[in-house]
Amino acid sequence: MNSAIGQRKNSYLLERVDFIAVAIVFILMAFGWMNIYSTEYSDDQKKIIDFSLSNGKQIINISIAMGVAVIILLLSARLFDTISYFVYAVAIVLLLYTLVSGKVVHAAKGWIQFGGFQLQAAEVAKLGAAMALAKFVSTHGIDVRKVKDRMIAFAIILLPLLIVLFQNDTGSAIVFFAFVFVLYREGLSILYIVIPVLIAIISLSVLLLGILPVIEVIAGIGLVGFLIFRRSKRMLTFLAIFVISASCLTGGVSYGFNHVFKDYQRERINILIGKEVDKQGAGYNVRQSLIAIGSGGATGKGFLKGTQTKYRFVPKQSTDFIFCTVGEEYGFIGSAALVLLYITLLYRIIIISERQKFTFNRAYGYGVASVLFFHFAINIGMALGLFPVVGIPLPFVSYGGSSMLSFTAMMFILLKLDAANSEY
Amino acid sequence: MNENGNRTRVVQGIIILVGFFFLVRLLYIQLIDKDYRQFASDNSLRKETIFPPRGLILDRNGVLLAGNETIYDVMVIPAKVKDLDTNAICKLLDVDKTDFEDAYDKADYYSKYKPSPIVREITPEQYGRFEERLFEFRGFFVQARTMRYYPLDVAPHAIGYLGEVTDNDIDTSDYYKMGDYIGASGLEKSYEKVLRGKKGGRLILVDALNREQGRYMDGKGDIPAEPGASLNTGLDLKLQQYGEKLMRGKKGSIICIDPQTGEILAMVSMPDYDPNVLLGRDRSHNYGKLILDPDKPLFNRAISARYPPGSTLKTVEALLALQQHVITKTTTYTCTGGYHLSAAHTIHCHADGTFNAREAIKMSCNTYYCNVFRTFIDQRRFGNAAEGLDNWKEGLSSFGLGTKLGIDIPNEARGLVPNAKFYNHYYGVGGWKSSNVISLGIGQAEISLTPLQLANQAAIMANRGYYITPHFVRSISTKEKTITLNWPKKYINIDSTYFNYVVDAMEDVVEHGTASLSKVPGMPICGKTGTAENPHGKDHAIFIGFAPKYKPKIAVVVIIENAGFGAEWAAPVATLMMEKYIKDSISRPNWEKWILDATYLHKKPAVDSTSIKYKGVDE
Repeated sequence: MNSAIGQRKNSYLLERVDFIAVAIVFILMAFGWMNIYSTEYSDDQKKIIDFSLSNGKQIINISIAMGVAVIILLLSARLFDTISYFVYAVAIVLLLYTLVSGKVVHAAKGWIQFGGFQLQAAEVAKLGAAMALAKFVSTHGIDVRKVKDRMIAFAIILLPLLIVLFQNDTGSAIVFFAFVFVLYREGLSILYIVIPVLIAIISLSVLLLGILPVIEVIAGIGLVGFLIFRRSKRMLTFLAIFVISASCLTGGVSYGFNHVFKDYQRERINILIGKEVDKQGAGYNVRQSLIAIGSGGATGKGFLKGTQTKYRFVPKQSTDFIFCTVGEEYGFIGSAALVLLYITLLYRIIIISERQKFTFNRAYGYGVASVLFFHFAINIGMALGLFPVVGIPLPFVSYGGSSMLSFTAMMFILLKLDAANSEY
Repeated sequence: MNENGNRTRVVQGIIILVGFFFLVRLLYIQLIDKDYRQFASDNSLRKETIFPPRGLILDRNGVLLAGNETIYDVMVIPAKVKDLDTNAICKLLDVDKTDFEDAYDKADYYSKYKPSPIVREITPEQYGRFEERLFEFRGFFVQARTMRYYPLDVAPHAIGYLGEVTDNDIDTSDYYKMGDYIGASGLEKSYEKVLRGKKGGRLILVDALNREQGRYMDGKGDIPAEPGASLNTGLDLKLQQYGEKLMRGKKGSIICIDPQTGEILAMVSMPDYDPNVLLGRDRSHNYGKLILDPDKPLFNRAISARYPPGSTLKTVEALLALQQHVITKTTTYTCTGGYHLSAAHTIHCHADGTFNAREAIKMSCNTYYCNVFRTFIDQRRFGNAAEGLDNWKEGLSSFGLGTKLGIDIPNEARGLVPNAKFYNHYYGVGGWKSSNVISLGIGQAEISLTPLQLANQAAIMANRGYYITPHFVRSISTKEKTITLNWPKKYINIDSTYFNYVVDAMEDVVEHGTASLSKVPGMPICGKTGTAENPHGKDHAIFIGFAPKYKPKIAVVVIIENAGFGAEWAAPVATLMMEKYIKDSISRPNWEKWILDATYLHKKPAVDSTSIKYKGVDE
């Protein structure tokens, strides 16, 4: 009797899970696996399931992730709200633990070994931070427009960020900045997004173009602004603040770069922003990546037919640079389709978040969207030479157990919350 | 609500904007810019490593001790191998088929995509034949590299040898790749980062048939290799060779130091080996034989072996006792053939009479120094013997005895100067007195020191109170510049008047004391003999000393294992070395013959080095 009801309930549940989001996730996983297989494929290596190779291992990764997804869907939706801080605390403990005894992978610490299984603590921390932040902003009486609450919210984000940065995992650390979008949605001023972006643009421009053109542009904006807003005292104040702080920043960056940094630091920054070509290091990787993608042309060379990506000219082919294989084998049509698929998924998550009745659910949904978005933007930006090589995976596509598991968990917790949402 | 709707739209807008950027960028690199697409898909790149020549090692006059020769390795990229005719390639390269297959499996296991060496060091003729038929062997190519070469078969322990990098080396550094060589001992190891230079790389376009099509981007992306820097050592080739000749057929070591600079002029450890047997294809085979040899030819006795210092310690003890006013220059003790510890136990002495400290060094009187040692340990200002012993140890440490001096080759032993804790452990706290440890006073029992420490002690005596860390390398030269190394100088906190007193005593030792048979006419030598009892057979013969007495040029230690008295065996060798270095001639050919004829190791060396022939040499 009970079990019959349970089954009915579960079948309702399946109907309520957002079909579009699930479909896109499955397509991404399958497409990712095809590309991983392609990087392993060669004339004398055609086995589809070989558990010593990454294509075989990825099948295990996907299976484990799907098992976890099913468990999440069977749990009570209210559980996640309750255990948010606990998950966050566990993640912080894991991060600190890896800091002490973590395994070094590609110059970054952060792996925990469980028998034969490795877990990247930073991935768990992204989930933990998304949950804890959602829990915090949804608590009764909390308002991020209040200074004190805002500081606590920032602390929730910065704690894991700093530990991850300390582990030398710059890529993952940057991803934590994504949570600003959650706070923005819950009432934080847009300036928290605009100012960092402006600072980044100005600093980068100074490094790339030198101090003079930047000062000229700032002065130009000041002059034009003055002519337009002559009458509005408020706008003139804003303008003055902008011109003064932008000039200070310009001068500061220029001075710091030329007089404080040492030669090798300057060289590394120049390589990072693409001003100098690092012949066989990071710059070489980006160039190889662009050659691979560019050689795909309009329609690509076809499944398993890529040559540039076969001989490992591009390192970390199946993780950080998986997009090269897509570009080479499926051309513009395939890469554009992948980009659009991602945009659709992110758009869909925003829609799902907005239809939630509880603040926790919505904030959590924004957290998921933000993390996925940053991963998407940085990973593909890196392959396209638009972003420094910091090494983070493309969710659901790249090879790797930890990222597959944590992104799937993140996604299916949202889908479970959403499915339960329509019950109320 | 409206405000929230705006916020949603801003977030969505940012996402779409980024997606749009990506699409435009893709459109550009995949459809518009022809640069990337023209990169024909038939061609692929091969990344070749350019190996820098390893830095040279030179003696103090610029004579080459370690150089390089060019050799060729056949490399394989397993992922690119196609339709391989194993029999043909083995025949062409004259290698055993199973060896080849083993090497191939190893390379395949290391990486399918990175080049690994598969047949090493082929001859230039093989190289020529193979290069002609390279198109038959897809996935293979030949890489030139330089190989180490030791032209003189000299000072193997100081120079060291190379080994192939281990998995651990590859994991812990991003410089080494499988098949690279790395310094594994001696100067080759300690100056690895200086000597190795910096690998370069070139990118070569190859077509589907493994034929070179030219340089990628006309070689613009190539990085030239930076040759390793050369080491200018203080070794004196002639002296080193002479030392090796004298020690042939014996076990032991010689170290000669220029006391004014701390430079090591010669370091001999016998038995030794020809460093060239540890190069090339037979390396691991020969290494196995050497490591199993019971005479331990790979072991550098000069810095790693530990011996009781015997009577050579008396010089240091006299200085410590004088400085702490335990004795004065005129304090005498009477020796009646031994130091009577108890009715049953006497430490014997071959001297008889009443001596002061100077005479007791000259005659090497055990009784005198047993008295000095006990008086030192039992000084009233110390609460107990434990405190006294620790103070004594501290004094020895200031001479570098029982400490690592910091010589610039690896595996330096610390030796052992026991402290109070050591005996507390043995007898229990408060369970021992100066009488229990009296043998330390004559450099016997638990104390053990390395030849290097004793050589440094001789240098301190020569300098009357200071030393410069003993070292091989005086400067490092690259093509552009020479950097002189600055080695630390350390002072011993003892008045120079006491040093002068003990140096006079050491002169007496050679002029008319225990080592008077080794006197060299016209060359004032200061020294001290030692005879170290040991459980392994006859006593070890020891001599430390320096010459000339004023403005010394050379400080020497000689240890010959199980040879007998220091005066009989070690002193002649040491004084011959001094004479050779200072006068470049030998005035006592009968002594030289006596030493050369005295051999007790009669077996053939584990590895016969005469079978090795050298190919073309280039530096």
